[in-house]
Amino acid sequence: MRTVTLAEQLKDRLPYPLETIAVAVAFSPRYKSVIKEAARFARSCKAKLILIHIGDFEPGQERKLLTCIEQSKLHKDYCRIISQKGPTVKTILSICKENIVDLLVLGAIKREPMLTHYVGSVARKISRKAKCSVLLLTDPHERPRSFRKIAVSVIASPKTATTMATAVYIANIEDADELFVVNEEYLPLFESALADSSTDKEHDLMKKEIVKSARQRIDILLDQIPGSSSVRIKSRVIFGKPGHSVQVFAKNKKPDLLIVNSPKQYLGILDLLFPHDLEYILEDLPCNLMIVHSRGF
Amino acid sequence: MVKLGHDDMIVFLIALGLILILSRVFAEIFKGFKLPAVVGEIVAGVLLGPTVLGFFAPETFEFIFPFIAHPEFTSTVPVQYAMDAMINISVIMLLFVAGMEVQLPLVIEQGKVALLTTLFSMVIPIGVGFVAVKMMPELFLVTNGDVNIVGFFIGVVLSITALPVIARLLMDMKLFKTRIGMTIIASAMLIDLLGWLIFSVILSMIEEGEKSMSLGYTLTAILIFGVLMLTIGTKIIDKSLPWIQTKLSWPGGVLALAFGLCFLGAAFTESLGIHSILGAFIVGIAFGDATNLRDRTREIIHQFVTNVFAPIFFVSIGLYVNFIDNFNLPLVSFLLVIAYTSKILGATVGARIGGLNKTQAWAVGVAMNTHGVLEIILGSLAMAVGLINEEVFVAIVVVVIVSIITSGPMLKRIVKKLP
Repeated sequence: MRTVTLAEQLKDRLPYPLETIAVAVAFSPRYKSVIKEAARFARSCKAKLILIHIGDFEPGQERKLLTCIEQSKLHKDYCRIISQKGPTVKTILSICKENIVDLLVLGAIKREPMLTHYVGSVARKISRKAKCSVLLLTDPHERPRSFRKIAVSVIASPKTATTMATAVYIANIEDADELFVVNEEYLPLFESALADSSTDKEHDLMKKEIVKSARQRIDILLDQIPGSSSVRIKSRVIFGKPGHSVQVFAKNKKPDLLIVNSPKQYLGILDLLFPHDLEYILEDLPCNLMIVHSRGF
Repeated sequence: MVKLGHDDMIVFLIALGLILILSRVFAEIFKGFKLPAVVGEIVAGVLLGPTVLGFFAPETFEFIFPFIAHPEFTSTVPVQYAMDAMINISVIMLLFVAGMEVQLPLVIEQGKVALLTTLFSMVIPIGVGFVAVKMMPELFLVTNGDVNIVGFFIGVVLSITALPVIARLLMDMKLFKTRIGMTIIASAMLIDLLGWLIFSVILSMIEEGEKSMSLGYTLTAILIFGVLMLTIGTKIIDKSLPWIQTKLSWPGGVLALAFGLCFLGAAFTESLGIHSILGAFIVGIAFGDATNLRDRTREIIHQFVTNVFAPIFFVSIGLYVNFIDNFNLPLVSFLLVIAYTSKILGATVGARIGGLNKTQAWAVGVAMNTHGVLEIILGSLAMAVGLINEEVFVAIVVVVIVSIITSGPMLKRIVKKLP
């Protein structure tokens, strides 16, 4: 019988259900909270948890990890530690690929100093390059709580349907109180196109039509997602640049988790100089962020 | 000090008042035919200017616009200065607003297809324009200028796409957010940026001898100013906007900042030996790219410039140029043919190579062949420095108007074939 290759296993694999979750451990002051949050989430999803450590363990470090796992009440069979040497970002990503990780959990500070932003922290670099979904925890707790209030960004992209389905899956697992489906409408040139040849009424009518068709799109997408009827969904249409508008929305509404598409492509320094989509959110994380990577796109 | 006298003031204010009211009347009439305001404004200028009013009622024309009918009269010279200043300020503000429409992140996001569409829809028209002038300099009435520079200029004019016109068309046809729509918008934005950079180089080449600025100096200055404004400049503007929009009077504070920066940028590039319009355009890009700029503020800036300053410039075109005397049928016909073929072909080929299917690529090609405001500004500036004469300018204006009228129906025919 022919063995299924890793590439074949990964190809077109949906970002949910989450079967394997990994957490990168760097022994920062918040490492215990990050591991406990990841373990709680793994328990909710009935997923395996992999703790990834890059480099050699210092004396006592492995023991600390084992204690953490014990405290988080995760069964031993569902958890293992991988320690490997190598360049941090590359090694973490390669471990995720080899172990078919569905979600990589990382601790991240909300806002980085300007220089770090341009040089790039490990968490930000992984967020841009990862080929699996990534969860950035901005405020992890040693006594973690489930994500009760979730927001998902909806933009015009083929990835959006899968991202929305993942959001519905997580909302169901977490038994969320509400799921905000936020349609980001970006209309560059709207004002200039209408500036000299439209009345106030026409202007408002055109905006109302855009809102109406956006809501219809959301409804059509939700109808196709199994489990969406069991979640309390609140749909919103907001105007602005994708990424930036949902970041502002999240700052105001303060959800526990914001879910967005993975970036279309990674262009390195160009993305930082001319930020778009995900870069606006990474610049100043409004809350915990989950970047859904839809394989096959 | 030269000052506007009592009579000059009356003449100047009557002219401004008539320009604004009549341009709005004609803009509204043409809106009924689904045509942009700019067409109505140009027609208002043609009717008010030497072409119609000056021909059928010369006394009335002389009474209302003595500074145009008799520019040699010294008593009206200050009015000419005032009018010239108003027109220059209008062009600078128009370029600032045009810059605000360019969203570089959107261009980057659209990636390969937008880049290839841009490349081909610029290279082919520029090449065709250049060869056409080179082979037929007498048709383009190149007498004292450099044939190469005129050829290059005609090519740049043919390569530009009218962003607001095509944006409105795409919105009306519900194509704006489709792959075709985003490709068109992103490509038109990039062409705007590149077109103005190239045009600034052309202007510098013309003025090189006069101001002894080398081409290398101009290019370096443009590059440094552009890169600094679009990276650090954008960040500074973006970070300061929340404070300005909440702590200062609104919209007074942000309007002062916007137009203040626009004029400072224009002055800076003018002092470098590059035309002031480039400074205004680049500051416009930096300002428009700021994520913290409120939609309402953007709308106010657009309304203010488009409805007050743009008409002054577009009506002035018809006021100063006689469209009948300078209508050269062979030139207009030839320019129309090369404009349509080169632009449609270039953009279609680019979009096809970029990955769009045949029908989508044709739709992009036809839509990209919408010329507009910027080509007219380019033409008027080129005419002001003596690069082209009035006949070539009239031909450019006709190409712009014809392309605006035809692009909608042509695009609709192709869109019907889309699956």
